[in-house]
Amino acid sequence: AAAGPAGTGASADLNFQIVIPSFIYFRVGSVSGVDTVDFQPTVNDVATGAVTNATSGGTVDVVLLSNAGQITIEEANDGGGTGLDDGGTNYIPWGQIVATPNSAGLDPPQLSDAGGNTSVIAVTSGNITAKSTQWIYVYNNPATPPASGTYTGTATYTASIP
Amino acid sequence: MKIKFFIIAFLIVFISPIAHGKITFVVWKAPPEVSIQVGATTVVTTVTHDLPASQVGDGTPITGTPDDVVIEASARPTGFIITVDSSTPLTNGTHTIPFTDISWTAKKGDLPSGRFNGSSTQVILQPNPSMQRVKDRFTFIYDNTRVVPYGTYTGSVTYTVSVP
Repeated sequence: AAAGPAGTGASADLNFQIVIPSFIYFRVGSVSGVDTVDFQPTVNDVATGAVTNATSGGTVDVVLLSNAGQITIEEANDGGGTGLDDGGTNYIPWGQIVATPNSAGLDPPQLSDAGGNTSVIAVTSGNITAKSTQWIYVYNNPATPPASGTYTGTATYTASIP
Repeated sequence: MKIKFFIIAFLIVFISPIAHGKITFVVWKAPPEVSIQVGATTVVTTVTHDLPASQVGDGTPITGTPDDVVIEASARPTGFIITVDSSTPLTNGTHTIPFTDISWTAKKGDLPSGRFNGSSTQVILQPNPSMQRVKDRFTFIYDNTRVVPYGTYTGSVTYTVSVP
């Protein structure tokens, strides 16, 4: 409170405080659920080691929004270091699956059996990262054809502050 | 003894005279004075807008705490103006949030609801020749329409009452 002569007036201050927490919003694929990328290489693809495009789900939406500074995306999988498996003892290395972004600035880390590959994402401005793109997956048939069967695995991408 | 008495009476007349004096009293009109109270009376109040992480920049308005800030102004004799200076933005030391992202609602309506415009002399209340005192309670609201870098942003506004 303050009082004073009318000419010069009287003033009183009011302080403000806005508390903004840090956050990361990261989405790979659909808003809810886990997407499936399906490859069905032809006999010729398998025999020749050709590149096979996804039959379905091969183009995946990716969104990254954060106010926490530079973000690193790290890949992991559920293969325990052995790759995609056929339910038995046959494996396809995760490295045979390659994702390419269709716009620069939000690159995926390369998938690997051991996991742990990273991709450092540059901020958009200041501490803000606001990027979206699509990752397009292909399957590189290995030079030595794997045993016939259906191989499955789940990859996990994690965005975090270094 | 008669002579003595006469002398004494004569002296008494000259030693105890009767006189008159005048005193003139002048009462001046009290000088014009204004007063203002914003929030608490003895300390500067801080209005805090605390955002949940899931709502940063999503457009959900964030009400400040306390949500009931007293604004009271008076003037003698009458007719005062209230202005506010919100020209210096809030800052976390590196990044800023302008006060234009904050609005208020007045509970009684004796003062208008509004929004800080970021100027140094925003008029909150125009002069009213018959008004000697006004009091209301404000609730402040942060827009939260932009994703801003994390941190605690602080700043101050200054309310001024004067007679134009």
